[in-house]
Amino acid sequence: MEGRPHEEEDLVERAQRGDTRAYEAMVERYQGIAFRVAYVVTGSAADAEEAAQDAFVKAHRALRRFRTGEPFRPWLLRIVANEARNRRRSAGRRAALTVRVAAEESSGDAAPSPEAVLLAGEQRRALLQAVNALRPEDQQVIACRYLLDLSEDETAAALDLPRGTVKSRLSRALGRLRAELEPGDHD
Amino acid sequence: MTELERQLRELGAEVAYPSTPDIAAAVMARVGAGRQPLLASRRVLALGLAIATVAIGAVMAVPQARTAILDWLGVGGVEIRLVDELPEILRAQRCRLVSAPRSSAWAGRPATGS
Repeated sequence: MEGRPHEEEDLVERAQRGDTRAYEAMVERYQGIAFRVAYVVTGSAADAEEAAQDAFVKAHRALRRFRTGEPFRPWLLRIVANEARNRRRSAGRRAALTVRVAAEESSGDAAPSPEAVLLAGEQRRALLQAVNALRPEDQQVIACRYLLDLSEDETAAALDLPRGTVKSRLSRALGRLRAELEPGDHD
Repeated sequence: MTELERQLRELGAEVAYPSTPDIAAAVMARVGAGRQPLLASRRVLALGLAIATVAIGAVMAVPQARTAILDWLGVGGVEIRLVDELPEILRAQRCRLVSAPRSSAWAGRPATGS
């Protein structure tokens, strides 16, 4: 995604000139990450879909103000996350990160033993359980930075925080996560 | 990167998010819907202007119609005719506008303020 800056710049310029096909290509490219970021913020698939849709429509209206040459994804994710936060506030709900481990376990090059698969699955479930036990702010920063693999800039844009705050919040969230994972702290 | 950060990144690939809906189709329908009225209104405006231009051109091409319209608008042309005697109506108007003849002594008297 980030290895195609020229293609992205070309699409942005064409979309700014009113080429709807170029904008459609951009929406198709980013709809997955936009939906997942919105889902992390709202904790609801329906709200995330609406937020992502509205964000893409707003981004299209604001496209002329977008400075060519700047990375498009953080700019878009900021709009997406704003829309998602508005929905979360208007719905009066706390953001709940409802992530689940996929039913299918990942397969490596060499087929692991059933015990190894079971152990790896248990470790992932335990880690996810610990993430879900964190405060919403910690869940969100960990989800954006690690689970969604956003850059620090994108995480800052998505959570509407300064980059320095993202770093410090991540550090504190990781500390709390380690505490959650330590044996004896939970049953 | 710490071991915990690495594990979290790996976990990211295993998280089962709801499947992404077809956002592009809905967005493009809304974006397109927003643009159509603008395009349509521009086309209607251009067509209306073209029709009005042709109609005005056709009317102005007929001298009688052109004169009537310009007179009605108050911007008709002025026709100059040489006559031996002014028409009665113009003479009456001139009498109202011009006062009786005065002597040069009367014109050079000091102003009285009244």
